[in-house]
Amino acid sequence: MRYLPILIIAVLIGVFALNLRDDSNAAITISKTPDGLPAIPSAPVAPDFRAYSQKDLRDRYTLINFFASWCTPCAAEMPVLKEMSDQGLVIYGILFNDKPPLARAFLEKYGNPYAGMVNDSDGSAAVDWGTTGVPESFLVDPKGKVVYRVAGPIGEAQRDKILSIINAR
Amino acid sequence: MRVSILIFLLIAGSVQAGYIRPEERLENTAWEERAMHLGADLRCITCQSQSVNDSDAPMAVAVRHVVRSKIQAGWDDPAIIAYLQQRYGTHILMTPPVKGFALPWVLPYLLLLASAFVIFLYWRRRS
Repeated sequence: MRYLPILIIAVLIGVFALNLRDDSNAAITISKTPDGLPAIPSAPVAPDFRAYSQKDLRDRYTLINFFASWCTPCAAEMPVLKEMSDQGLVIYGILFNDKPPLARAFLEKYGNPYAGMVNDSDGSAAVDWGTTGVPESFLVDPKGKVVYRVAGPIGEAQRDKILSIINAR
Repeated sequence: MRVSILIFLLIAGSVQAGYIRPEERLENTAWEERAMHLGADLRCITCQSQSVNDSDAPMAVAVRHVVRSKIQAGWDDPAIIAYLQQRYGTHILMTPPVKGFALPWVLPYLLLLASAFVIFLYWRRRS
């Protein structure tokens, strides 16, 4: 009987440990990348910005990047995006919850790394891709499958990871 | 007094309405009611413990729009929840389903029982 409290504590620790091992009980399981390729909005940002569709995301690696002019981290990742596009990576932009004239001014200021751009004015594509905000990027493989995602700005570490996936092909 | 009541009603009304803008609302009142119920059960994923109804964050507005467009497209509530859960996991739900042995919820009662048992043993030994 003297050891009852110790026994109770040991049992509790055991139960806690078992629960911690069970991933299905994890409180935060934010943004699982959905199977298959989510929707690409059909609305162009402006007539002189080239739009694109899902069929442009085949036969090569492409990077889908959600961005907005009001998003400071989006500006921070622009030099890295520009560097990757200069190296030959095709980057497509999805303008999230923004006004096209503001996006144009943003791209004139920070450079335009996008081979095409579409407008997700109501945010439905952002939800379809399971984004948690902007910036958020998805590397799509030549078969049209999302193989890597970056929630937040792409830094050097994420750039290296993206390039290693592409070069490992 | 009347002014107080008016202020109370205005505050209560604004709490009820959350951040939903008039232009977001569906004309069909039954659909709008469904959207409101769903929105109250869906977490704003960029906020701190707020439902999408209670937030003006761009992602909350986007989820509200998706819910309403799916309702208009004829989706039922479980299908809409499943669609969002596939993308965001159970974290999108304000009250995620309890799976397995939910220790945090039963622990206080277990401790209460254990304490009562220890007190009972102590009382019996003394008497």
